[in-house]
Amino acid sequence: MAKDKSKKKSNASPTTGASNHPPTQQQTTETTGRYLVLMREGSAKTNIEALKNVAGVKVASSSDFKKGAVNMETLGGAQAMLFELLNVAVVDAPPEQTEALSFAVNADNPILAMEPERVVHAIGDATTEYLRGYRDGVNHLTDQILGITKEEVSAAASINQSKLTWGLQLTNASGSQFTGKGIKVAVLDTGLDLGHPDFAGRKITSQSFIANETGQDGNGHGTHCIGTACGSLKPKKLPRYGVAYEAEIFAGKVLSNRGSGADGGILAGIDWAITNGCVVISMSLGAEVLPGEGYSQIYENVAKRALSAGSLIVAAAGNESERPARIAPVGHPANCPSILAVAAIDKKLRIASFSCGGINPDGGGVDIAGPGVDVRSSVPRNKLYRELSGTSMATPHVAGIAALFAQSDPALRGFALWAALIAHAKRLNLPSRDVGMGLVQAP
Amino acid sequence: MSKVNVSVADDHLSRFSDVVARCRKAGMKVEHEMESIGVISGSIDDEALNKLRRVKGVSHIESESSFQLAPPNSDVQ
Repeated sequence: MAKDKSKKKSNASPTTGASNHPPTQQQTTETTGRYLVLMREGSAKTNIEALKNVAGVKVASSSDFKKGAVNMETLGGAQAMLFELLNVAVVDAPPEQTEALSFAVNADNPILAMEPERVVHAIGDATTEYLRGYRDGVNHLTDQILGITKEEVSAAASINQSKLTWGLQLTNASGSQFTGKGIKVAVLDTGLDLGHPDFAGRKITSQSFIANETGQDGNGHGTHCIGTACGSLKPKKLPRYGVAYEAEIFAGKVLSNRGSGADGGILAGIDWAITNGCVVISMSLGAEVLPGEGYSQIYENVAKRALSAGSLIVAAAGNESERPARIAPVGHPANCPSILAVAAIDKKLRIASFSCGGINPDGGGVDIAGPGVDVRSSVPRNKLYRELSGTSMATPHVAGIAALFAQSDPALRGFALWAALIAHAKRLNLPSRDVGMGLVQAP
Repeated sequence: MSKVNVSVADDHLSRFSDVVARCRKAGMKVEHEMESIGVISGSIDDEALNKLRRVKGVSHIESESSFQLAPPNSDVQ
């Protein structure tokens, strides 16, 4: 993922929600009469206002208190205490107010779920036990909402990668009957190692848009991205890592061997790809944008014209987040409404800590997610293979799968191809802000 | 001189080369003419930018942004 720090320039939707009825006490569990309310990840201000607006609950925030100063018995004199880092509020309010809150669950507001607070009998240190019980309660609540089973997590963790990378397996690219045959895929990056043994015999068009450099990849980034999108069915050394192994490759060098480039070369690369009839244009590059910053009108026009011409542009969302502390906005040019923005997930189907999120309005959202953590693919000789992480690695998974869809139906071009990718994405238990419609799936 | 990218308006795409000629006349040093995406790239003196903005058929002008990959030894790309 290219970025330029010097450049001037959601919402969570639970797949399964808690019931809409006021929580009732369970016979086997002793409860305190208070409730735990799980709030959507977001600003404390938004969540405090939601509690106030929905049920008139007076809320204190954990950040109002110095470390350790929160008195959990009195909630600091308020009716609810919001734990900002957990996005959980403990509510102690009259029944009409807690009922109003429970009816708000699943409606269009930040209140995701609610359950009675359990009594935890102290065995050792009272504070520790309270926190443990509290954590268990929160975990139970989030598990219930998110629907992630322990089985799923352990299955994901034990993926065997001896023959196929985890990315090919979880996207079903390895199970697809399609190969990308007859489809032209452009990857605009640092070029390709044209002598890499895994690309021998492939139809490759190489073009440099960088002055004084050939299309040969002197960086490694481009060879890795092309490997994921179009790498071989039978690489010199297993596992297989490439999606559309019979696609025709257009390797456009728009970033130099030192990894730098500019709009002029990238636009020239897009123009070249469209002129050559590439159905998919993969761009693992971007520049950081600020929260609230708009998108480039020029790239948006270009992307619309590309779609009309039957070319889909897929771009990396960016790697500037430092989750959970900070979610950075989707970068330029992936933030254009007509460019498919790709986030990165890991093999346990968790959002990558670095993956940018859809926090800017007006098109700056994530559209889809791809495998982007510990991704094995090709690099220039003599190393041949390497694992890398980034939205740069997630993007060519989506581009390769787009080629499979394009091969499966000649009507899937431009926006129809976009729609097919989105419609078939596997829903994840993650906010659309982070992963759009979910994990890309091969036809 | 600033590097700029110029987007040609939808209703002038069929007369792309005319717009390129008018941009040159307005002082733009044209480097790439990209007809399939309707973009002209090049450079222009800052003082001439206003003149370029008024060229018939030009819809947007943006200054060029640059991109830089993480160093090759970085694990996150």
